[in-house]
Amino acid sequence: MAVSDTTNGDKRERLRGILRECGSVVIGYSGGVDSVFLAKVATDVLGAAHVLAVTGKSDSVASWMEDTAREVAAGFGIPWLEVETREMDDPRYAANPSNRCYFCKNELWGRLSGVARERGFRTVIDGANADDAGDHRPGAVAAEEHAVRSPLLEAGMTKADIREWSRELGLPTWDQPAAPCLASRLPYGIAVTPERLKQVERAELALRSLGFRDFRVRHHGEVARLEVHPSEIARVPPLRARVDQAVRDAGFRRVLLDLQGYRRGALNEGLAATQLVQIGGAA
Amino acid sequence: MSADERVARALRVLEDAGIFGAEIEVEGHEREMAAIRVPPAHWDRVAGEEGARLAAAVKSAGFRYVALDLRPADAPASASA
Repeated sequence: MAVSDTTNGDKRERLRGILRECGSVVIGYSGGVDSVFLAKVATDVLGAAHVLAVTGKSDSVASWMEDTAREVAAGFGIPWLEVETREMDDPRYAANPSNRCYFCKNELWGRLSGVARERGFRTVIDGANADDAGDHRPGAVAAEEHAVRSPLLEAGMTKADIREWSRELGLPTWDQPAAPCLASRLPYGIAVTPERLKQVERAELALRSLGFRDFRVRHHGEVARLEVHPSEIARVPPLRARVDQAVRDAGFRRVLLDLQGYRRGALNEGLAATQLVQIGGAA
Repeated sequence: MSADERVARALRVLEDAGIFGAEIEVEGHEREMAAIRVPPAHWDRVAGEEGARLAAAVKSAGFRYVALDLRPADAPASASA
Protein backbone atom coordinates (compact mmCIF):
# COMPACT_ATOMS: atom_id res chain seq x y z
CA MET A 1 0.00 0.00 0.00
CA ALA A 2 2.26 2.75 -1.26
CA VAL A 3 1.68 6.36 -0.40
CA SER A 4 0.56 8.12 -3.56
CA ASP A 5 1.86 11.47 -4.77
CA THR A 6 -1.29 13.01 -6.11
CA THR A 7 -3.26 16.25 -6.07
CA ASN A 8 -5.53 17.16 -3.22
CA GLY A 9 -8.68 16.24 -5.16
CA ASP A 10 -7.21 12.90 -6.13
CA LYS A 11 -6.29 12.18 -2.54
CA ARG A 12 -9.82 12.89 -1.38
CA GLU A 13 -11.30 10.62 -4.00
CA ARG A 14 -8.75 7.95 -3.19
CA LEU A 15 -9.64 8.17 0.50
CA ARG A 16 -13.33 7.73 -0.28
CA GLY A 17 -12.47 4.73 -2.43
CA ILE A 18 -10.36 3.11 0.29
CA LEU A 19 -13.17 3.56 2.81
CA ARG A 20 -15.68 1.98 0.42
CA GLU A 21 -13.25 -0.90 -0.01
CA CYS A 22 -13.17 -1.33 3.79
CA GLY A 23 -16.95 -1.81 3.76
CA SER A 24 -17.71 -1.21 7.41
CA VAL A 25 -15.22 0.16 9.88
CA VAL A 26 -14.27 0.34 13.52
CA ILE A 27 -12.08 3.41 13.96
CA GLY A 28 -9.45 3.95 16.62
CA TYR A 29 -10.84 7.31 17.69
CA SER A 30 -8.76 9.34 20.14
CA GLY A 31 -10.44 12.71 19.69
CA GLY A 32 -7.38 14.06 17.85
CA VAL A 33 -7.31 15.85 14.50
CA ASP A 34 -6.74 12.76 12.37
CA SER A 35 -9.14 10.26 13.89
CA VAL A 36 -11.95 12.81 14.20
CA PHE A 37 -11.53 13.68 10.55
CA LEU A 38 -11.40 10.04 9.50
CA ALA A 39 -14.52 9.22 11.50
CA LYS A 40 -16.43 12.10 9.93
CA VAL A 41 -15.44 11.21 6.36
CA ALA A 42 -16.11 7.52 6.98
CA THR A 43 -19.58 8.36 8.29
CA ASP A 44 -20.27 10.53 5.24
CA VAL A 45 -19.03 7.88 2.80
CA LEU A 46 -20.31 4.66 4.40
CA GLY A 47 -23.28 5.85 6.44
CA ALA A 48 -23.53 5.79 10.22
CA ALA A 49 -24.73 2.18 10.28
CA HIS A 50 -21.36 1.05 8.93
CA VAL A 51 -19.13 3.08 11.23
CA LEU A 52 -18.18 2.77 14.88
CA ALA A 53 -15.67 5.19 16.38
CA VAL A 54 -14.09 3.65 19.47
CA THR A 55 -12.13 5.53 22.12
CA GLY A 56 -9.79 3.63 24.40
CA LYS A 57 -10.20 4.93 27.94
CA SER A 58 -7.17 4.78 30.20
CA ASP A 59 -5.00 6.91 32.46
CA SER A 60 -2.75 7.71 29.52
CA VAL A 61 -5.50 9.61 27.70
CA ALA A 62 -6.04 13.22 28.75
CA SER A 63 -9.57 13.84 29.96
CA TRP A 64 -10.00 16.80 27.59
CA MET A 65 -9.28 14.48 24.65
CA GLU A 66 -11.97 12.11 25.84
CA ASP A 67 -14.37 15.05 26.11
CA THR A 68 -13.54 16.16 22.57
CA ALA A 69 -14.07 12.64 21.26
CA ARG A 70 -17.47 12.40 22.91
CA GLU A 71 -18.64 15.88 21.94
CA VAL A 72 -17.58 15.70 18.29
CA ALA A 73 -19.19 12.29 17.89
CA ALA A 74 -22.45 13.59 19.33
CA GLY A 75 -22.33 16.79 17.29
CA PHE A 76 -21.57 15.16 13.94
CA GLY A 77 -23.65 11.99 14.16
CA ILE A 78 -20.70 9.64 14.46
CA PRO A 79 -21.56 6.38 16.28
CA TRP A 80 -19.25 6.24 19.31
CA LEU A 81 -18.20 3.73 21.91
CA GLU A 82 -15.73 3.92 24.75
CA VAL A 83 -13.84 0.84 25.88
CA GLU A 84 -11.46 0.53 28.79
CA THR A 85 -7.94 -0.46 27.90
CA ARG A 86 -5.51 -1.97 30.38
CA GLU A 87 -2.06 -1.22 29.03
CA MET A 88 -1.06 0.01 32.51
CA ASP A 89 -1.40 -3.57 33.76
CA ASP A 90 1.28 -4.74 31.34
CA PRO A 91 4.70 -4.47 33.04
CA ARG A 92 6.35 -4.26 29.61
CA TYR A 93 4.41 -1.06 28.96
CA ALA A 94 4.82 0.34 32.46
CA ALA A 95 8.61 -0.05 32.31
CA ASN A 96 8.51 2.53 29.50
CA PRO A 97 10.97 1.07 26.99
CA SER A 98 11.54 2.83 23.68
CA ASN A 99 8.94 0.53 22.08
CA ARG A 100 6.35 1.29 24.78
CA CYS A 101 3.80 2.30 22.14
CA TYR A 102 3.83 -1.23 20.77
CA PHE A 103 2.38 -2.65 24.00
CA CYS A 104 -0.23 0.08 24.27
CA LYS A 105 -1.36 -0.28 20.67
CA ASN A 106 -1.32 -4.05 20.90
CA GLU A 107 -3.82 -3.75 23.75
CA LEU A 108 -5.90 -1.14 21.90
CA TRP A 109 -6.05 -2.94 18.57
CA GLY A 110 -6.75 -6.23 20.33
CA ARG A 111 -9.78 -4.67 22.02
CA LEU A 112 -10.99 -2.96 18.86
CA SER A 113 -10.56 -6.10 16.78
CA GLY A 114 -12.73 -7.89 19.33
CA VAL A 115 -15.39 -5.17 19.08
CA ALA A 116 -15.30 -5.42 15.28
CA ARG A 117 -15.73 -9.21 15.36
CA GLU A 118 -18.56 -9.11 17.89
CA ARG A 119 -20.50 -6.42 16.04
CA GLY A 120 -19.84 -7.54 12.48
CA PHE A 121 -17.59 -4.73 11.22
CA ARG A 122 -15.20 -5.78 8.48
CA THR A 123 -12.19 -3.53 8.97
CA VAL A 124 -10.38 -1.79 11.79
CA ILE A 125 -8.77 1.50 10.74
CA ASP A 126 -6.55 4.15 12.30
CA GLY A 127 -5.70 7.81 11.69
CA ALA A 128 -2.02 7.45 10.73
CA ASN A 129 -1.24 9.88 7.91
CA ALA A 130 1.49 10.46 5.34
CA ASP A 131 3.45 12.76 7.66
CA ASP A 132 3.79 9.96 10.21
CA ALA A 133 5.89 7.88 7.83
CA GLY A 134 9.32 9.06 9.06
CA ASP A 135 8.55 9.08 12.81
CA HIS A 136 9.53 6.57 15.49
CA ARG A 137 6.29 4.55 15.54
CA PRO A 138 6.57 1.17 17.25
CA GLY A 139 2.77 1.23 17.58
CA ALA A 140 2.56 0.79 13.81
CA VAL A 141 3.98 -2.71 14.22
CA ALA A 142 1.04 -3.65 16.46
CA ALA A 143 -1.36 -2.15 13.93
CA GLU A 144 0.14 -4.29 11.21
CA GLU A 145 -0.09 -7.42 13.37
CA HIS A 146 -3.78 -6.76 13.94
CA ALA A 147 -4.40 -6.03 10.24
CA VAL A 148 -5.36 -2.43 10.96
CA ARG A 149 -5.55 -0.29 7.85
CA SER A 150 -4.50 3.36 7.63
CA PRO A 151 -6.70 4.99 4.96
CA LEU A 152 -5.22 8.48 5.36
CA LEU A 153 -1.70 7.16 4.91
CA GLU A 154 -2.77 4.95 2.00
CA ALA A 155 -4.39 7.94 0.30
CA GLY A 156 -1.25 10.02 0.80
CA MET A 157 -3.01 12.60 2.96
CA THR A 158 -0.75 14.87 4.98
CA LYS A 159 -1.61 16.70 8.18
CA ALA A 160 -2.06 19.90 6.18
CA ASP A 161 -4.52 18.14 3.84
CA ILE A 162 -6.42 16.82 6.85
CA ARG A 163 -6.57 20.20 8.56
CA GLU A 164 -7.78 21.89 5.36
CA TRP A 165 -10.58 19.38 4.74
CA SER A 166 -11.48 19.34 8.46
CA ARG A 167 -12.00 23.09 8.32
CA GLU A 168 -14.22 22.75 5.26
CA LEU A 169 -16.24 20.13 7.13
CA GLY A 170 -16.64 22.44 10.12
CA LEU A 171 -14.81 20.13 12.51
CA PRO A 172 -13.69 21.97 15.67
CA THR A 173 -10.49 19.95 15.68
CA TRP A 174 -9.19 21.41 12.40
CA ASP A 175 -6.58 23.59 14.15
CA GLN A 176 -6.18 21.54 17.31
CA PRO A 177 -2.53 20.93 18.17
CA ALA A 178 -1.30 17.35 17.90
CA ALA A 179 -2.02 15.55 21.16
CA PRO A 180 -0.37 12.18 21.68
CA CYS A 181 -1.00 10.21 24.87
CA LEU A 182 0.25 11.46 28.23
CA ALA A 183 2.82 8.67 28.51
CA SER A 184 4.69 10.37 25.67
CA ARG A 185 5.72 13.03 28.21
CA LEU A 186 7.85 10.55 30.17
CA PRO A 187 11.39 9.88 28.98
CA TYR A 188 12.04 6.23 28.16
CA GLY A 189 13.13 4.37 31.26
CA ILE A 190 11.00 6.37 33.70
CA ALA A 191 8.18 4.05 34.71
CA VAL A 192 4.68 4.98 33.57
CA THR A 193 2.40 5.24 36.60
CA PRO A 194 -1.10 6.69 36.98
CA GLU A 195 0.30 9.24 39.46
CA ARG A 196 2.89 10.56 37.01
CA LEU A 197 0.34 10.77 34.22
CA LYS A 198 -1.99 12.72 36.50
CA GLN A 199 0.84 15.12 37.35
CA VAL A 200 1.40 15.78 33.66
CA GLU A 201 -2.30 16.21 33.01
CA ARG A 202 -2.73 18.64 35.91
CA ALA A 203 0.26 20.71 34.80
CA GLU A 204 -0.89 20.82 31.18
CA LEU A 205 -4.43 21.79 32.15
CA ALA A 206 -3.01 24.62 34.25
CA LEU A 207 -0.92 25.87 31.33
CA ARG A 208 -3.94 25.69 29.04
CA SER A 209 -5.82 27.85 31.50
CA LEU A 210 -2.99 30.40 31.16
CA GLY A 211 -3.64 30.51 27.41
CA PHE A 212 -0.90 28.24 26.07
CA ARG A 213 -2.00 25.98 23.21
CA ASP A 214 0.90 24.02 21.78
CA PHE A 215 3.29 22.68 24.39
CA ARG A 216 4.33 19.60 26.36
CA VAL A 217 5.15 19.10 30.03
CA ARG A 218 7.94 16.52 30.01
CA HIS A 219 8.17 14.57 33.24
CA HIS A 220 11.76 14.07 34.42
CA GLY A 221 11.01 12.75 37.89
CA GLU A 222 10.86 15.74 40.22
CA VAL A 223 11.66 18.09 37.37
CA ALA A 224 9.18 19.32 34.75
CA ARG A 225 10.74 20.42 31.45
CA LEU A 226 8.33 22.57 29.48
CA GLU A 227 8.48 22.52 25.72
CA VAL A 228 6.48 25.47 24.42
CA HIS A 229 6.00 26.01 20.69
CA PRO A 230 8.39 28.69 19.37
CA SER A 231 5.41 30.86 18.41
CA GLU A 232 4.30 30.98 22.06
CA ILE A 233 7.58 30.84 23.97
CA ALA A 234 7.88 34.64 24.27
CA ARG A 235 4.73 34.59 26.40
CA VAL A 236 6.52 32.66 29.14
CA PRO A 237 8.82 35.38 30.62
CA PRO A 238 5.99 37.76 31.55
CA LEU A 239 4.03 34.85 33.05
CA ARG A 240 6.95 32.93 34.49
CA ALA A 241 5.95 33.16 38.17
CA ARG A 242 2.44 31.90 37.39
CA VAL A 243 3.73 29.18 35.09
CA ASP A 244 6.25 28.08 37.71
CA GLN A 245 3.66 27.95 40.47
CA ALA A 246 1.04 26.20 38.35
CA VAL A 247 3.42 23.41 37.41
CA ARG A 248 4.80 23.09 40.94
CA ASP A 249 1.23 22.77 42.20
CA ALA A 250 0.94 19.70 39.97
CA GLY A 251 3.65 18.06 42.06
CA PHE A 252 7.00 19.03 40.57
CA ARG A 253 9.96 20.33 42.57
CA ARG A 254 11.53 22.29 39.74
CA VAL A 255 10.17 23.81 36.54
CA LEU A 256 12.42 24.34 33.54
CA LEU A 257 11.67 25.92 30.17
CA ASP A 258 13.36 24.13 27.26
CA LEU A 259 15.14 26.77 25.22
CA GLN A 260 14.57 24.97 21.93
CA GLY A 261 10.84 24.93 22.47
CA TYR A 262 8.38 22.25 21.49
CA ARG A 263 9.46 19.94 18.71
CA ARG A 264 7.91 16.68 17.69
CA GLY A 265 9.57 13.58 19.11
CA ALA A 266 11.98 15.42 21.44
CA LEU A 267 12.20 12.42 23.74
CA ASN A 268 13.43 10.29 20.84
CA GLU A 269 16.52 12.50 20.58
CA GLY A 270 18.39 10.16 22.91
CA LEU A 271 17.61 7.03 20.92
CA ALA A 272 20.16 5.32 18.73
CA ALA A 273 19.16 4.78 15.10
CA THR A 274 18.84 1.05 15.76
CA GLN A 275 16.09 1.74 18.32
CA LEU A 276 13.92 3.71 15.90
CA VAL A 277 10.92 1.96 14.39
CA GLN A 278 9.22 3.59 11.43
CA ILE A 279 6.04 2.84 9.55
CA GLY A 280 6.80 0.18 6.99
CA GLY A 281 9.98 -0.86 8.84
CA ALA A 282 10.67 -4.03 10.81
CA ALA A 283 9.75 -4.43 14.50
CA MET B 1 33.56 13.82 30.45
CA SER B 2 32.42 14.60 34.00
CA ALA B 3 29.35 16.72 34.73
CA ASP B 4 31.59 19.46 36.14
CA GLU B 5 33.54 19.75 32.91
CA ARG B 6 30.31 20.02 30.95
CA VAL B 7 29.05 22.74 33.26
CA ALA B 8 32.26 24.74 32.97
CA ARG B 9 32.14 24.48 29.19
CA ALA B 10 28.49 25.48 29.08
CA LEU B 11 29.13 28.51 31.31
CA ARG B 12 31.90 29.58 28.98
CA VAL B 13 29.48 29.34 26.04
CA LEU B 14 27.04 31.63 27.85
CA GLU B 15 29.76 34.09 28.81
CA ASP B 16 30.97 34.19 25.21
CA ALA B 17 27.41 35.22 24.34
CA GLY B 18 27.56 38.02 26.91
CA ILE B 19 25.51 36.27 29.58
CA PHE B 20 27.32 36.62 32.90
CA GLY B 21 26.16 35.54 36.34
CA ALA B 22 24.49 32.36 35.11
CA GLU B 23 24.37 29.14 37.15
CA ILE B 24 24.07 25.66 35.69
CA GLU B 25 23.01 22.45 37.41
CA VAL B 26 22.75 19.02 35.86
CA GLU B 27 19.30 17.38 36.00
CA GLY B 28 17.54 14.33 34.55
CA HIS B 29 17.71 10.61 35.28
CA GLU B 30 20.51 10.27 32.75
CA ARG B 31 22.13 13.56 33.81
CA GLU B 32 21.27 14.76 30.33
CA MET B 33 19.86 18.18 31.07
CA ALA B 34 21.50 21.55 31.72
CA ALA B 35 19.30 23.57 34.07
CA ILE B 36 20.26 27.20 33.64
CA ARG B 37 19.49 30.11 35.93
CA VAL B 38 20.23 33.61 34.69
CA PRO B 39 19.82 37.07 36.24
CA PRO B 40 16.44 38.60 35.38
CA ALA B 41 18.07 41.10 33.02
CA HIS B 42 18.85 38.25 30.61
CA TRP B 43 15.44 36.62 30.74
CA ASP B 44 13.87 38.03 27.61
CA ARG B 45 16.98 37.31 25.62
CA VAL B 46 17.44 33.72 26.77
CA ALA B 47 13.76 32.81 26.50
CA GLY B 48 13.33 34.73 23.26
CA GLU B 49 14.49 34.30 19.71
CA GLU B 50 18.08 33.77 20.76
CA GLY B 51 17.20 30.89 23.05
CA ALA B 52 17.33 28.12 20.45
CA ARG B 53 20.73 29.25 19.22
CA LEU B 54 22.10 29.45 22.76
CA ALA B 55 20.65 26.02 23.51
CA ALA B 56 22.37 24.51 20.49
CA ALA B 57 25.68 26.00 21.64
CA VAL B 58 25.26 24.75 25.22
CA LYS B 59 24.25 21.27 23.97
CA SER B 60 27.62 21.03 22.29
CA ALA B 61 29.10 20.91 25.81
CA GLY B 62 27.50 17.47 26.16
CA PHE B 63 23.84 17.95 27.10
CA ARG B 64 20.75 16.57 25.41
CA TYR B 65 18.43 19.29 26.75
CA VAL B 66 19.05 22.88 27.76
CA ALA B 67 16.40 24.51 29.88
CA LEU B 68 15.87 27.66 31.88
CA ASP B 69 14.84 27.53 35.53
CA LEU B 70 11.66 29.54 35.97
CA ARG B 71 12.65 30.57 39.47
CA PRO B 72 14.54 33.86 39.65
CA ALA B 73 18.28 33.60 40.23
CA ASP B 74 17.98 34.72 43.87
CA ALA B 75 15.51 31.94 44.83
CA PRO B 76 16.65 28.50 45.96
CA ALA B 77 16.50 26.13 42.97
CA SER B 78 14.88 23.29 44.88
CA ALA B 79 12.45 25.33 46.97
CA SER B 80 9.10 23.64 47.38
CA ALA B 81 5.90 25.28 46.24
